Amino acid sequence: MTERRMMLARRSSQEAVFYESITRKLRWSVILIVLITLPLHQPQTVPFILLISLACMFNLSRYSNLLMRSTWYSSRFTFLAADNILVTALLIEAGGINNPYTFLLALVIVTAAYWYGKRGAAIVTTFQILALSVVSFVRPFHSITISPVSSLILIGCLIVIFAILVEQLTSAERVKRIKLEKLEYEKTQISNRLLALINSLGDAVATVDENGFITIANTALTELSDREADLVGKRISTVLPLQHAFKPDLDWSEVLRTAPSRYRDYTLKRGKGNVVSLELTITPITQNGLEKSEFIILCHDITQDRTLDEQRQEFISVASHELRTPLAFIEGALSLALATPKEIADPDTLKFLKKAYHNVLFLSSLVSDLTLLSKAQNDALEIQPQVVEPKQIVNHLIEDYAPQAKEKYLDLKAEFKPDTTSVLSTEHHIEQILRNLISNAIKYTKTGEIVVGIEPAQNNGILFSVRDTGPGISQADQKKLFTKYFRSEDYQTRETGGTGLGLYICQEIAKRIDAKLWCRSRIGHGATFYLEVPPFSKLDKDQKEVVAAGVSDLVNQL
Amino acid sequence: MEETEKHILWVEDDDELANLFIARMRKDGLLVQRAENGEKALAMFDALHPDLILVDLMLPKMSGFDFIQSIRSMQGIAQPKILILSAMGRPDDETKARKFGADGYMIKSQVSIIQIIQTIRNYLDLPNSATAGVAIPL
Repeated sequence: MTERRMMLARRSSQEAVFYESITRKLRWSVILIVLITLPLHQPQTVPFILLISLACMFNLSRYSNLLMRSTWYSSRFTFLAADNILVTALLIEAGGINNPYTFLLALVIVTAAYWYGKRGAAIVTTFQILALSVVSFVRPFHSITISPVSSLILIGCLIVIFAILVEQLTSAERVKRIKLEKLEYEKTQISNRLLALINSLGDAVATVDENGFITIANTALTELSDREADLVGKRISTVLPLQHAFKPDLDWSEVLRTAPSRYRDYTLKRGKGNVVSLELTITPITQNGLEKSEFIILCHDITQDRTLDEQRQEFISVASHELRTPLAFIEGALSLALATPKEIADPDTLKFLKKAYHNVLFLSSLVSDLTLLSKAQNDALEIQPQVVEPKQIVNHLIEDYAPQAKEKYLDLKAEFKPDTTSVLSTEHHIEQILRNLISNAIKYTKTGEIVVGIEPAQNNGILFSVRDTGPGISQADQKKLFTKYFRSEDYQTRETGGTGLGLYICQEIAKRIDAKLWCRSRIGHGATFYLEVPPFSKLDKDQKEVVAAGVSDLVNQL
Repeated sequence: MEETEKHILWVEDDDELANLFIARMRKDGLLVQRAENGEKALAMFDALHPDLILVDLMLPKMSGFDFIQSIRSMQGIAQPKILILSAMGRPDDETKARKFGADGYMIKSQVSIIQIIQTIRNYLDLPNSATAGVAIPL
């Protein structure tokens, strides 16, 4: 059924209900009057009138039941017929079969039935009973004679008056109802349009309450979660079980607690092994300036972007390698030329060759740094947690950097606190960060020592520290230490060179393994950099095998 | 200036960069010989008695790892220091190299020649390089 016809059907049945509600009241009162005036009737007619009245009451109550059902339209005729028969019977009894008035009255009633039947059968029957009651009243006072014409006119007037009354009553009511219906209709239109808009969005949208139950979900979400049924009332955690490459699965209660927020590293496993990367945006809903305890969740598919990221990563990897080899060559050649400076006759040539050498060294370290940075920002997929031996890493690093420390006559040593055991993390990342910290320490310390420390940290983590006896870092510099391209304004420090990316990269790498990196220093009292590495908390089957292999290696070494 | 006591053997098939490095090292006063592959290097081993071997992992015929294993499994000789100097590194290579018995691991294009020289001098307990000239990069 079209919307308009539905509306019209609803309206006419609403009208009918309205008519019925008024007329039902009228009819009950009329029947009551008939019953009250029973003593005024002829004794032999009393039982008959009683019977018919009871039948009318029964019909009335049945009628109300019929109204409640939607098939009212089809039962209407049956009811009307029954009603008409009953009333006619009562009429005949009241007026007498030989009474010409009875015939006329019956005719008028039938005509009225047809006319009023269009608006609502209820009016007809009411009118019938009214007419009945008139007769009922008139009958006892049969001594009063009314001529046929005058009684016809009287009845005619009654019909008209009654019609006008009902019309007045219903028109006001109808106007009000039409207005309401129009508003309802407009409201429905607007909400339909909004729904259509939300449903045609490509991104999956849902609103959830504070307990994570979905209150609204659009078509895109149903598709994304590979479901058929309505998602309303379901938990968002079962509809979107999002996973991370190396962190635990997404904890939705935590997510809702810390909204507004955005996540870019989570994926959803769909049917047929298809995995999509999603960008999640969660915002609390505000209405009239007040924050409700509902949230809106937007999922944007970034699988394409991720693929592009991987391609870019590969390109950077290849490009940087291509860049590095020629740079290494240039650096080597210049170093060769400058090894015997006396062989270079022209002092200007010597000067500029030296500058060229400095520049190529800077360029090399910049290329290294940029590659590292790019890797750190993109290699979510490469994390393979393993059992890491901190002492081993530090010992290797000290071996590697011993020459450089020796060159500057610095003392480079390790300090292991007891009870330090292994930690579940990645050696590669920890080593990269420590390398940077140690090489910085060597670079900026003029005399003294550099101590690399290991001690246990909370939750079975490990705390690494690199302490130097260098010039220290000012409070102002400490605030910006880990930002991009930061180089100290301090003359002595600046002179030593560096790309300004080192600590920024360390921070990015640390983020990858959930580690914390910070610095404690005072000007003139050296600096200590701390790296706290927590153990990985999520392991999938493959990773567990790697760990198991690592553990068995350790056992074999004992 | 020649330091005739310590000999260095570099196993490298043919690489311009490596050749440049060898020239640079010689200018620094180090005694360096080159072998083109693992087999030739093993042949030269007895004659030269190198104190330090630089080896590239990507070699024709015998692989770098196999070469290291051969050296390490030799009995009755003073084991030389072994430094891997390879072209491109994978994270596993270094761990694998150390397991085979290498003492150090460097990626050719990521270290400066001065760093290589200094590392070698350190391993051989030689004094610091005298030809570094401009500031040693870290």
